[in-house]
Amino acid sequence: MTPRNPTPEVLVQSALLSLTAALLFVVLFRLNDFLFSFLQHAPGVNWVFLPGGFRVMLVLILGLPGAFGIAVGTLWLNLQGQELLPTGQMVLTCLASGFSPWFVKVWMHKRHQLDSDLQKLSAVTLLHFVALYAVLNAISHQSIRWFFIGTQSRIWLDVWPMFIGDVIGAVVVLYALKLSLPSLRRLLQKSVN
Amino acid sequence: MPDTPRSPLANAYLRFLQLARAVDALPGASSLDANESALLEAVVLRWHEEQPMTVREAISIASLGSPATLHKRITRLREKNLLATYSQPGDRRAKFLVPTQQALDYFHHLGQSMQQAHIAHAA
Repeated sequence: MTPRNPTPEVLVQSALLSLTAALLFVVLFRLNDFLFSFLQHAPGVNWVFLPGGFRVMLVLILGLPGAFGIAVGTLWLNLQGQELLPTGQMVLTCLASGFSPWFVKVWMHKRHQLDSDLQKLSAVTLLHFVALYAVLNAISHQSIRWFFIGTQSRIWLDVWPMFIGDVIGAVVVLYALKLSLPSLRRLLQKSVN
Repeated sequence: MPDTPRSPLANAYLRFLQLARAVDALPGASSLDANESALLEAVVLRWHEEQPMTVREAISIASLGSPATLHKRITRLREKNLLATYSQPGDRRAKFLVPTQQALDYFHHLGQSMQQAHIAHAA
């Protein structure tokens, strides 16, 4: 429920949220590389992909600024990578990275399964969201790759590690949040008191 | 309810609370032990009778433990988002314990399980 004509303050806060999302995404991407590099299937595709879970959290909590932040974070990671992708592929990959969970959010919103404040969000809806996001993310990334590199791409082989990596990453991140909630609540109560 | 505009930060925090509620309800090992469950039941029964229990009353239930133990248990139930406290507008000294929506969902789930078990037993 943000104002229809955003004030400068709202724009600044949204930019701040985007920047935070980008930073968190990059940090978790690097952490995932450090922890699970031995499970890497291809550059940027891992059988356990914790940033996949973070995408779910960032887009559900932050909405559009979260999606934009993830896209910016992905762009930064691509620019730092050893092999620079062609500009078109890089831009589309970044958009797919940030906006695939956002499109799922919008789609579920249109089907009255989610509302913008997440008041209807239950554990089942959350798992439904994760599954849909993982499907859309894997298909969009691999389709973009196939479009740019054609027959060299093994779309039906590469789509599975990405899908499974995103699902496992999301489940790990969400259960890590579940386990840390009591401590988080204690911290919040202390900061309020 | 009026459509009050909120800042993106406030929206993000409220959505985080909703997400936390959904994440708390994800399937997994029950985070309630038998002692916490007994205290929660006692509090919810009193709330259901429209006579909410005060924190002072809750820590005096000798059959469930010492005041210090019960105080810690109340803190844990609050951290697990199963109990909340409120004070009457005119008297901020007495803190009343009330179940959260998550606690009510938990009891709803228990009720459904009992009903299913009853149907299975009758069949």
